[in-house]
Amino acid sequence: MASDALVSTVGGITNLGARQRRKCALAVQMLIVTMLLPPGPALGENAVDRTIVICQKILRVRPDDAAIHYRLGDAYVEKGRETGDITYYQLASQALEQALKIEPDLGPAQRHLAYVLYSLHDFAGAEREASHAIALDPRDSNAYGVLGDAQLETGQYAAVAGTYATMAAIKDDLYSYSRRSGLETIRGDDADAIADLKRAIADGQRDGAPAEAIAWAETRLAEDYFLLGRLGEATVQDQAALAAYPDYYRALASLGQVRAAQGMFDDAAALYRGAIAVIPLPEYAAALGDVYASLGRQQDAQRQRELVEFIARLNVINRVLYNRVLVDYYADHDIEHERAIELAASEFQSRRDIYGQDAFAWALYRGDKAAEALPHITAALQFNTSDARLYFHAGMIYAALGRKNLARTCLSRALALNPHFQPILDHVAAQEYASLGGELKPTNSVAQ
Amino acid sequence: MLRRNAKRRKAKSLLLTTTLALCGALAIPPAAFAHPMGNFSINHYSRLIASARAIELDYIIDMAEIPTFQETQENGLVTRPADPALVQYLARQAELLKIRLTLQADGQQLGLVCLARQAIFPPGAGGLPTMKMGFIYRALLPLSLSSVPVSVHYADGNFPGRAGWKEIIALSGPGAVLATSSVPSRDRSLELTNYPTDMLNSPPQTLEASLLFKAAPPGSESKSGALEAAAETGWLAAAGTGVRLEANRQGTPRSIFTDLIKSNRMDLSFVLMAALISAVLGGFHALEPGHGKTLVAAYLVGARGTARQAVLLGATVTASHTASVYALGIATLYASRWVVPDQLYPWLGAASGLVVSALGCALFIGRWRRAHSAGGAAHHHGVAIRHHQHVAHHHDDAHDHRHHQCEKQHEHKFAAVHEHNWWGGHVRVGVPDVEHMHDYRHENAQAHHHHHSDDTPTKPLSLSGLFALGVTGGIVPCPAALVVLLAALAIHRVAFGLFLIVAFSAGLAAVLIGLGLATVFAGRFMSRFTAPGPLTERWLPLASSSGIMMIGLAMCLQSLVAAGVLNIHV
Repeated sequence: MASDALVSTVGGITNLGARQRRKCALAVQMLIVTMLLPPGPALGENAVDRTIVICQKILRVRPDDAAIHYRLGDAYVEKGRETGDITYYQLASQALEQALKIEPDLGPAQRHLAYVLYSLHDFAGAEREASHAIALDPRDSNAYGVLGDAQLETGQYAAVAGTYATMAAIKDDLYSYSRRSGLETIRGDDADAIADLKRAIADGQRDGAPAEAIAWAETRLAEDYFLLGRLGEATVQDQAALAAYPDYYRALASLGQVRAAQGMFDDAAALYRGAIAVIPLPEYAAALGDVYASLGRQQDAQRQRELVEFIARLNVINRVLYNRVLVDYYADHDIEHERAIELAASEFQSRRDIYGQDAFAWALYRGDKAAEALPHITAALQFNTSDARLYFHAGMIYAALGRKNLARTCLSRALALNPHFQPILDHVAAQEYASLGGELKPTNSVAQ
Repeated sequence: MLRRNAKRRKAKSLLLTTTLALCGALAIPPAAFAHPMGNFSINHYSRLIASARAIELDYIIDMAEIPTFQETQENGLVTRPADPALVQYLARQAELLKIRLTLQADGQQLGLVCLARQAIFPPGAGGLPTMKMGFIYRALLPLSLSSVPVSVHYADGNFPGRAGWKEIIALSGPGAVLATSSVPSRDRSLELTNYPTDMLNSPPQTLEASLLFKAAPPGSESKSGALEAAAETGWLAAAGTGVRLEANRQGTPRSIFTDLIKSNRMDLSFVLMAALISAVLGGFHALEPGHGKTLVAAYLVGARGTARQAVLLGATVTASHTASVYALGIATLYASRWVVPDQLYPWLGAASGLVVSALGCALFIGRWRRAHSAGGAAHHHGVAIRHHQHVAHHHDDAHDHRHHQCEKQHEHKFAAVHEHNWWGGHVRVGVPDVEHMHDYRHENAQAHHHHHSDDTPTKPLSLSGLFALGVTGGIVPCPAALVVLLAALAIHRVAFGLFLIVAFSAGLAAVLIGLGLATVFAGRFMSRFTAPGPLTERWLPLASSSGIMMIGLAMCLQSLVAAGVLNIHV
């Protein structure tokens, strides 16, 4: 390849060592491959599919090319993000492992491998591999990013702050800003979170980041607005995401949530159906079921609930370790108390983030174990995260324990944040609040 | 001799692959059963065949477990090909899917007419159904092909955004030549029956095709080979009669035996054929090392027993074997009213694990006692087997060999550990008493044939002893027979499944009895080849029985994890 000639010439002039020369060759090759792959839709395929095909073609001729293996792994990761299909993560890990076999010091491949593990919910593995990637290249901001993501998912909040700070100090781009915002949302620093996401989106657009990555950040921003009851702004962001990346399932579902909160249940149902058509995630089926229930379409609601149960059964067969969605579903619908507690408890063994604490607490409360739920809901609210669901759960638990003042405060906070945080449950919050003698304040969030 | 060895090796490897497939089918690692393209995928396949006057489109949609569940739920389907609601559903689907299929010739949309349609429901993860639908559409060209090329554009807009295998191929039929094509003419997935995926061959994502067809020059058709290629695929010929769909051959390890029972045709010749094949497979099964104990016993009968005893022994083994499969099957059937099959599989695994480990435990205790007492203690137990060390050696060799290959072939499979365990358990349970006999021999005498004759000079093998031997030899139900029964259960054809097991058992009995009879006449001759083993083998029996226990416990644990009773965090 031309890059080899170029690098040996440059290497000859500048007297590079063999190792440095090899690294340099890799960098040049990666640059050339990136240039070789023009973005833009091809016949029946998108840009990522095209990248995959081109990399495969090159690798058939040059099977020992670590850089192309890395590029192929990268494309598979992207494809996995777009489709939600774990097949692509498995292919990605094959390609990345091959790259590392050829070139054991290839930091980016190591970091991508960590990301694949993270995507497959192997958080401990992701942490390990990301640390390895950092050892290979201490200036790789994305490696710190993946490490922080794994720490965030397992609730190591003190460590995340440091990791993300290092990441942002090395490089500020879409990926570092959007990651940092995730921690800020949890910590209740809502203004900072929103500002960082806006910056992330602007940077992504400026740097020509993949459309899906920009749409992801826009959807995240919409979700942050939703948590704060700012439904109008949430709508705008979801629509922007759908414009950037049409039929983006996360944005469809996020907009569905907004429409349900606005009482536009027919629109919400259509949006959730759209998301399910792309990926039938159980959380979407559960939400669609609740929307149908709000519309009085009990039979349709029942079907969606059966789908959730079916996916739950498949998860058992496939030995999926994390079933938080199912815990929430059971607890939200006040069914399968023991199973919900069991699932939440087993996940809690290895994953203690605030939402794990919340799911555990919520399941315990539904199983008439409010006293046991208390420490978990306290932990879930340790950062005063602006999430109406957390405050609603806390309010119900305090009420069950007879701590009326605290219950009233929490429910009041939930309803102030977003009075329509969840169909079928927001009115439960309002009723409980009223029965505790709380006064509902008029809010204008629906009108936004 | 060399040739015979080669032949035997070949037969052995055939057996090995068959048993591996059978073991694989029962081993419970659920992930291995899942749809190869993921639980929520919808896979597309389009084959365009242009002829002088028309374009045929063979269109297959293969839905994994989740979309299948959604479809059956929304349309009130029962996942059986004979379901009356299915006919209407398929007719509706043929029209609905057509709406998002674009087929243009020189920019003009062609009208697609559905000629034939079919659906099958191959089982996926945990036996949950998947659905594969096939449609044959035909579009008439506005003008017959001439030497001026016709540009054809095809696009598949169904299920946009959903992950899956998306393949389009194009071929030329009678009177047409494919001048250029943006898609291959070679089929990668064999009509979505196989999804070969690796790093360099990821699932195709083709949803559009551009083709240029023209009329074949007169007389050139036979040379082109395209027609033959099209005819080979079978569909072109089938267009008038119907679609033929096949289940995925990958991801759901299966044997001929289990395929038999899943067949849709049920006429008399098929039933007889199925019975015959089952009997042959049963015969093969009898030759597998799993029935080693029985073989040893049969040999014993051969050495000292009569032809009548050999027959009796073979019949007992077969009867107990069949009974145990039936019992387990009936228990399963009964339990399936309350328990869905995918929940039952892990429990079945746990139960068999417990049985295996209990057997191992019993053996261990027995051997421990024996190892710590003199040879005399062996009397009441070892009668039947003492003489036949060389059989044991042979057997162990066979086992080790298998063991090795098993690991080698399956090291990448998720299922590996389990298959291996099942097998290991099965074999070891089969041979235990034989090993113990080494100790006895070394402690007592060199000329063991002779010695043995002294030991139990004329005492004939008691009928009850023989019976017990047969029952213990057959009581562990073999995976193959169980799978058939469970498969029958899954497709609501229990009677046929039970019938096939009878046939299977008949084959098994025939071979066992045949072997017994053969050894009755050849026994004395064979016993001359006995060679003494090393003293160190004394501890081997203890090690192997504790091995059985561990294997049983591992099986049990793994099954409990699968059942969700236990959670082991990585």
